[in-house]
Amino acid sequence: MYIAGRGGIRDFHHAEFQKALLKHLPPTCTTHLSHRLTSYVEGDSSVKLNFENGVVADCHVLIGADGIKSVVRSQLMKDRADKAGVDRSTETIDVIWSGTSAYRGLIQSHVLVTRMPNHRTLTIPTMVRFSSSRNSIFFV
Amino acid sequence: MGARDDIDVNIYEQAAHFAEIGAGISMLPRAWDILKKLGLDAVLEEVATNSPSDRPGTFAIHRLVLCLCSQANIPILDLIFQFRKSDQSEGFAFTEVDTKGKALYLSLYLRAN
Repeated sequence: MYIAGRGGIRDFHHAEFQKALLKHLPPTCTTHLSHRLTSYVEGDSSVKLNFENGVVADCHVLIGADGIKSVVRSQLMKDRADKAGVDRSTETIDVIWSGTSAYRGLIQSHVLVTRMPNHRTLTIPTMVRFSSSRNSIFFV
Repeated sequence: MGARDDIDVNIYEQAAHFAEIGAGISMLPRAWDILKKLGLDAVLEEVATNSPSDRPGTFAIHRLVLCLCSQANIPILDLIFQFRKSDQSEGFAFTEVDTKGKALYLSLYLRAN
């Protein structure tokens, strides 16, 4: 059964990936650290950005890549709700906890090899285990 | 990147510095295609912790998949995911996801015994 397109999957460590991107930014690209967006104002021909440190900036196109608690997404959705006359309190604008918790633990592979030399995780790249009340994922 | 020098890009980051933290990223083909178009594929291949072709585990592919591959003239695939039922004393794998180079496949896994 075919489930996805070309290219396969590639794995990266987040920090290495970010470092590689930063190292290859073109001269037209500028990074600004310590800038937490608090709000934006959509004008006729530009978007005004307000940052927590007091800085105000302008842009023509705003791309929000600001994570699960995205300020951009939240404001966009609230503005759209207001414009459409929808009661924003009933919309799922803010992130809601699903009630599921996830735990993460690391075991050094040489310790696992010593104690459980035949453990499946050592030979199967990624294993997803299902049971009635909890699921787990193992990888090396 | 930088093919268009008439577009200025500003990246705003709330943190005071780019930190050395974070977990793993698994990138699917669509995102990889975009990075390729930006000319970053060679750079990123260097820091990738795998490439689809160097996966171990062809040994773990079920006979059925090998049989289907030979019939359809598809190259032998590498295992990337195995799904396993584990809430019983003897668990068993019921599905595997395999990939190689240009495609990602989901194969139904039949219990060996």
